[in-house]
This record gives sequence, structure tokens and C-alpha cells, in this order.
Amino acid sequence: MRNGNDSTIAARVAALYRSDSRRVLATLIRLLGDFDLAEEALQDAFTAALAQWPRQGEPANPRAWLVSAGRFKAIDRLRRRARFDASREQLAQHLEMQRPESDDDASVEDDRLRLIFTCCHPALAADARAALTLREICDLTTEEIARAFLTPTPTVAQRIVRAKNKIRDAGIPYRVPDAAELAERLESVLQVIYLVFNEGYYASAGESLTRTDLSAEAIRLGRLLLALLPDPEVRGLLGLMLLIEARRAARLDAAGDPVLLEHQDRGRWDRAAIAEGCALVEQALGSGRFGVYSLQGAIAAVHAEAASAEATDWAQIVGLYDVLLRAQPSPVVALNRAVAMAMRDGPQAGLALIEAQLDAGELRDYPLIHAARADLYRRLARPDQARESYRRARDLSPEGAQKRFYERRLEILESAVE
Amino acid sequence: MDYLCLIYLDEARLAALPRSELESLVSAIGVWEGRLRQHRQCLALHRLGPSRLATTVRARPPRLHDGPCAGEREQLSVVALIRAPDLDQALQLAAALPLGALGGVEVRPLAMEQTRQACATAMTAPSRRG
Repeated sequence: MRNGNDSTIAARVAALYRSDSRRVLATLIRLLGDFDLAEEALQDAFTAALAQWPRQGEPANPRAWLVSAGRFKAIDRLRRRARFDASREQLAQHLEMQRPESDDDASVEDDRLRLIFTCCHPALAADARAALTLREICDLTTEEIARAFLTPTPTVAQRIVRAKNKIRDAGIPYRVPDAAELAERLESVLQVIYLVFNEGYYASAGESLTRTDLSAEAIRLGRLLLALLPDPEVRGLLGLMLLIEARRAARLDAAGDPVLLEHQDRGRWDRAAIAEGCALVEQALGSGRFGVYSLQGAIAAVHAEAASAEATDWAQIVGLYDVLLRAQPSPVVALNRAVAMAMRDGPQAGLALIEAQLDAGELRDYPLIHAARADLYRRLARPDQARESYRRARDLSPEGAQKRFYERRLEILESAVE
Repeated sequence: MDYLCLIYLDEARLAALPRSELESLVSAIGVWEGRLRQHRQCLALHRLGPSRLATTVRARPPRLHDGPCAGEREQLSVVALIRAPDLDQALQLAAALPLGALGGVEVRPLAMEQTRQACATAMTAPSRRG
């Protein structure tokens, strides 16, 4: 036991909250079998620490102390409620009899992984998974999540409540999936992390095009997951996010409008993030058990290592898109491949692929396909068709930076004609 | 926990199925039921009559209407009451139903009071670790 005065203890408890509250919560959820009860118990435990540690000194293992205090506080709460609901008393007795298992570091880390897999369970709605993950694992408040997703706070609050209720009432288990299910369930976790990242990086609406906080949270989640579960695709996703994030400073101009990859000042790319991202992607690919995130990471790595758009190894990028398209056949991937083909073999080659997609009825309302087509027409010196496609891209875009960007492209084309 | 598996099948496709295939589907569901019953994982299973025989009662007018509750392409065709420790395991059991492209299974826990009771009973029994 260490003694200290009140203010140093308070600072110590605050620091412990920041470093360990999610670990304590993850273990309490397992012990108590209920998210809400565990959250209340967590607050009770930290309150008890503030009250007792100044007198008794900080315990030798503060985290175990907090888990144990939280568990007893939860049993107390159940007892108080038992006056109104007899089944609570049964639950309290059950919890009292249960011997919590050892609180070694390995079992604590298992609990964190259980919490991630439960929050990202595919039986929960996709938007609820993201909100619950940010709330429980990243400790963002409901208001912060609402602001980040540009969603009203009551909507986010309701999503979280519904998800927690379904976990409890439908019997969604608190466990790490076994080997047979792991790949499928991990896919759902990676999806949630990448959705959070993209929501931060490419704001889906609103004026500000990037929302740093969510991207940073997603990268933190990726690092945590990789530490807990060193799987090649986790590595690939973390690498991919770092490589995209590395371009952040060059992504917007002084007016806050987006700059195309080919026009970005590559001197402003974050070299440290690129080095880390490339290394992670390389390890993932080297494992031979990689998936779509590692492949997208590999494409981002080729861009990151090129001195300019012209100096980019477009043949390699086309090759990677070929593999990606086989692993994940999607019209958006096919569009990206067409753009890479245009860089490798000239605008006509890319245009033919894009026209074929549009003729097949794919992505007709997707602004980026019209923008890509416009750019290829421009390079082929067909300004009328370029303008028409830019207009289409503009009209399909929501208000904001992206729309302004197409307006500007149109103005440039108009002035070139005059 | 107890879950009701609501098995929805495409009645049009079902009707178009050759007799032998229909029989093998019915017997495959029977095999599934038998395997689960052996482990006390299936408490009841019933095949339903076709949805054209269904009648729906609602509080609002029209109070009665001919036909099932939801007018979907796939109709509730079989119900099975199963028992599993958690949703993951209930979903695994349901996924073992050999329905192919004929339809899907909605897995729903029984109403909360019953679930709570079942949980409380399970908890007072010696605890199993999973």
C-alpha cells in the first residue's frame, strides 16, 4: 500500500481511469453479464477508489481492486433493487457465489477481445455496432459519437440502448469466437473499424471534409485489435488506414477543398506513418493469408512510395486491382481498376471500361464515376463531354466541399474554352 | 435460452418442387429435428399448413383478413422450438437446416419473462463454464 495526499490520489485515479477503465469495464461485463450494470459498477468502483485510497493508500494491484470493488457494488445494487424484483436477489446470490477467476494480464486482455467481438456481433445492426464500439471500447460519450456521425444524439442513444438490450435479451454471448467462426466474425469487426475510419476521413455530409477524431479512434482500435489478435488482415487494415491517414495534410487546400491524389504535394505526406503502414502491409502480404484490406493497403503503399503520379507503378496497381476484384467483385473496385488502367494504357482504355460499366447500369448515380469519366474526356481533349460529365457528378453530389470541387473543375474547363 | 426458429419458405418454389425433392426436404428436416432432440436441443417442431389457410386477426379494422400476417414471397412454413446456451449456438443449429435457396430462418428468443425464468433456473444449477 502506498499513501498519498488527496490531490495526488485524485490525479492517480484519473490517470488509472484513462489507462485502465476499458479493461476494468470489459472484465466487469463478463463477471456481471450485463452492460448497464457493469457501467454503473465501473463508476461506483472509481468513486470508491477516490473515497478510500486517500485513507487506506493505493492497493498493490489497483486494477484488481477496481474489478473487485465494482463487483461488490453491483451485488449491492441488485440487492437494493431486489425489493422490487425478486429475480434480482437470485442474480445477486449467483454473483456472490461465483468465484471470479484469476485477474492475470492474459485473462484481462481476453475480456477486451470479448468486448470487441460482442460489440461488433453481426446480429447487431451495422450502425449500432459502430456506435456501441465507440461508446464501450473507445469511451466516447453519446454526444461525441452523435457529433462525429452528424446524427442526432437521441438517435445514437437509442441505437446503443437497443443494441445492449439485444445482447442481453437475445443471448448474444460474451466470448471470442472459436477458430471455425473466427474469420467471418473478424470480418465484422474489421468492417466496423474501417467504417469508423472512413466516417472520419471522408465525411459523408457537411462542410468539413475530414473529421480527425474518428480516424484517430479507428487507428487506435486497429492497434488495440492487432495487439490482442495478431492476424494478417488486422495488420493489413491498420497498414491501410495509416497509409491513407498519411496523406491528410496534403488532402485539402487552403480553402479546405479536396486535392486529387495526382496533385497533392507529396512532401507533406507523413513519412513515419507511410513507413509503418508499408511495413505492416508487407508483413500481411508475406503471411500468404491476407484479404481485401491487405490488398487495398498494398495499393495505397504503391501510391505512397511513388515520387509523383507519373512515377507511380501503374502496372503493379492494375495487377493488385485484378486480385482485389477477384476477392471482392464490386462495381466500385472495377471503377478504381478502370482509372488505374487509364494511367497505365492511356485514357481511351479507361474510358472504354467506364462506359461499359455505365452501359451495364452500374454506378449510374455515383458521382465519382462521372467525375472519373469527365477527367478522361478532358485528357482526350473532348471538352463538351467532359463538361457534361462534371455537371452530372456535381448534380449527384450532396452540398459541400465535393460539390464545390466539381464546380471549380467546370469553371476551369469553361475558361479554357473561351 | 429457448429460441423459436421461424422457418420461412418460398411457397411458389416449394409448390414447383418435384415430389421426390419435396420428400427429401421433409426428411432432411426430420433428420435435423431428430439429431437436436437427441441432445434435448429441440423441444418441438411443427410443419404448418400453407399460408392460404392462414387468417390474421388484428385490433384495427378490418379485424380479420384472409392470409398470413406479412405478405412476403416467403411464408412461415415450419416452426421449431430449440434450446441453446446463447444466440451463437442457436444460430449454428438453425444454420444446419438444409433449406438451400428455398428460404431462411428467423431465430427469436422467447419473451423476456420466460427467458429470465429460464436464466434464473440455469444459474441456480451448478455453473457450466463455456
